[in-house]
Amino acid sequence: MKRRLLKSCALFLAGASLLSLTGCISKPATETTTASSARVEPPDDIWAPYPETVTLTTFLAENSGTEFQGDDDYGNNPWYRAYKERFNIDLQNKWVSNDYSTKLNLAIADRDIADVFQVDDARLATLVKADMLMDLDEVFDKYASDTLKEYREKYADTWDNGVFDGKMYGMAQMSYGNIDQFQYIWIRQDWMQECGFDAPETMDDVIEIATTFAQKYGGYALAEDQTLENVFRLALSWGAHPGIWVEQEDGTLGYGTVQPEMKEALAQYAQWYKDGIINPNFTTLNFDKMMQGMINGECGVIPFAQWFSYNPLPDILKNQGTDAVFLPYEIPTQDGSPIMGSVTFNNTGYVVISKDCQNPEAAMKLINFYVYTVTDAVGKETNEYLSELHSNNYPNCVTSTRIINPENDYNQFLQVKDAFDRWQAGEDVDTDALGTNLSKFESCVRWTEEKDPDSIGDFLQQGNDRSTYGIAKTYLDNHQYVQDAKWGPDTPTLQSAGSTLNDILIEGFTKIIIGEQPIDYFDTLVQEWMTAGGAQATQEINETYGNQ
Amino acid sequence: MQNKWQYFLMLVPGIVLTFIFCYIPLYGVIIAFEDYNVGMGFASPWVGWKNFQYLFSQPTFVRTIWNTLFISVWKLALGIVVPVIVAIFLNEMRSNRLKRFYQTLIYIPNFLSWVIMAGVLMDILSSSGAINLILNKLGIGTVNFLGSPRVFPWTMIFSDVWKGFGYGTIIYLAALTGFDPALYESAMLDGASRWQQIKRITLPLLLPTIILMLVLSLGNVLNAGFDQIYNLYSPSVWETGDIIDTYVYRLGIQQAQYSVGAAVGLFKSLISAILVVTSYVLADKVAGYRIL
Repeated sequence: MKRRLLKSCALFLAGASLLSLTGCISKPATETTTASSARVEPPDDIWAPYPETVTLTTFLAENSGTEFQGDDDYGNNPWYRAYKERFNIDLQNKWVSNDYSTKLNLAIADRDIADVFQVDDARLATLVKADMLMDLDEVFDKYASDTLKEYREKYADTWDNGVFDGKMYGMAQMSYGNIDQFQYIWIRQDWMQECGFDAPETMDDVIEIATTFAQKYGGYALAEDQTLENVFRLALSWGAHPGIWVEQEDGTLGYGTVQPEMKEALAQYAQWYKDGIINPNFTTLNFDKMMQGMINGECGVIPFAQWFSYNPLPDILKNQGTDAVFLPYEIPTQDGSPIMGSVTFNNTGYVVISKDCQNPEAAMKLINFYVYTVTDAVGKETNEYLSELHSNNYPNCVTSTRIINPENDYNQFLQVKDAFDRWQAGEDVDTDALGTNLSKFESCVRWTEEKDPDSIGDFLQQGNDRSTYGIAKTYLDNHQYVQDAKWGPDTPTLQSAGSTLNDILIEGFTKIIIGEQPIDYFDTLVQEWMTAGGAQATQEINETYGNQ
Repeated sequence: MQNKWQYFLMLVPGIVLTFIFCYIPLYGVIIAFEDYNVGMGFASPWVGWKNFQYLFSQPTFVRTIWNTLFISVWKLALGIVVPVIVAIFLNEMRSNRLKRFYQTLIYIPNFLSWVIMAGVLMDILSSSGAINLILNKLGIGTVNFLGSPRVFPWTMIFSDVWKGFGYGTIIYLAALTGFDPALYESAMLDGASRWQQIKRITLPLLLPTIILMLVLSLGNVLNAGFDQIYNLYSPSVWETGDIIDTYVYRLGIQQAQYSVGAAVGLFKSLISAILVVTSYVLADKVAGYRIL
């Protein structure tokens, strides 16, 4: 009897714990649902505040780069405070997520979208199809600032991608400009000096430097990972433009990754792999693992983009000492002709406004304000005010209410470089004139004076004589680049099968490089790619973007 | 029956949860037959079998079925053979302390997640890792465990068996310790050797447990181990190492092709359901094992 009682007690407990488990599952998510306010008549002057507080909701992607000061957070920071003070607009985050696109999909499926938020091409099309967005033409005409209207005219080819059936549903957010799109060969300086090398002028020079490093300091000569991104970067040397759509000899458009130039680059890579120049384990390395190797000092040469100086270079300096600086070099071409970079359609996303938004002009005011702070505000606002808004990566808190000036980084480079050169020459620098660019200038100074690893990024991007933007500016000024013929969103086949198609190529290229397949397998592979949908994609691209 | 109401009460949460999380979402299967648009939800345009046709026209998908079967059947087979052998060996051990020591030791890898394990394996199996150093010393030469399409599936099979056999061993060991010692004593009196005892007593008695484990795992034959393979594979081994789940992950999640992803999911569930029923019938016919 007693035993039976015990048993049922145990059963009951087990049942209860199960129930509490379900309790855990159905626990409501900790997010504040906020309601946007009812219609408030806006003042006539687009810069004037509302007579009563207007609440506007938004979605936000978490950004680990933002360094919040004091009690600041995603819902309370210099931007949000400025919105309240200047326009009497209370911008509220419906949610902040580190998995923005998934969370956004769920919100769309729930039909619970914010008043104003950021979307990519695919979701813009989805939302328009589902009839959830506001046609922005009227509110744009009436409330956009003159500068913003200038952007729209100047970059019409990009803005047109937000137009469906003649109605504008998304405002293109643009990018910081093409200056950040170029590729470099990064070479470790303390080793280079020890071995007595000059700047490389041919690819053979690069390989000689790289192999000497590997012999002398261990590790491997050339860094690579399983995505083959670095192969694609270096392929520019052979005149290949992987990843973008280029005009072929017959005038039609073709995919850069399947052109004959790519085959030459792969043949060389296969030889390098055979000679032990490329990291033998590259097929198993992802991006983080490859960079871990760089941080551990296993390699002194890597083809990479401009942001290498931000990630992982500061970590390399912290681990290997501040002499282990990597400098960017131009990629040499095979025949010594000027290198041609690749420039892709570069648009951060679109600002969209919900069909149910009661105060769409409030969103326009916030966007106007962002544009104002980067273009017209220098001299009108105090330097502290502007730099508070633009330092510590605070602009990442307003991804849904900003439209970037594509000339931003180019002009910034001119200003910062000029100021830094004058500072080095011992002249006075008018820091007020630098406006939002002050913090980049200060970083350059900080690296020169204190060798602070965290300031190397800005220094190598802008301040140094051999800087990424310095090289990129030459490329841009000399028009040394090929622009992606696909100047807009993906066509249907690319949307549905684009990455499957790329997977076929990456898998095949890897086999060629590691010697599983001979170099002529490239032609078979291109045929496979064509049959799997590449031919159709090419046809669509030619129909949509050809003959422009 | 009246005295057993507590048991039925205990079933209730399970049934409710299964209903909510397994049966209601079944409705979502219709996504597989639609051109799914998140904004329109289940009212998206109907496209019939188009997603399935697309899938089976992709050579890269068809090969994942074969890869999945190859890897998981081997995992299944070795995942039973190895623990049974180890359990019998451990059972024959005289020192109880040593027995428990080994039991714990082989069980430990089971607790590590594949994310961690993948990092460890990548280091051990790399061209300059411990295993290749030994192989080089033995004059065998470097083996590209994670990069060669021929070797990769076997790396997956053996590392998975190595990681999981401790768990199986414990189950079989528990069954072994429950056997009536009188059987062995009388066998010994009749002069049976150790080997004869294992063959004639231990294995037949273990058979129901083995079959139970087999039946339970057959439904999982199309799950070849997503977290293991996803963390260890790379484009160079997709040819032999890409399984249904990793393919769907790349297609459905990374590319947001929900409809095609749902189509694969439905296909997988159908095959798995057939497998479960078949194995249950087989277990009944061959070993007289029934659940009810």
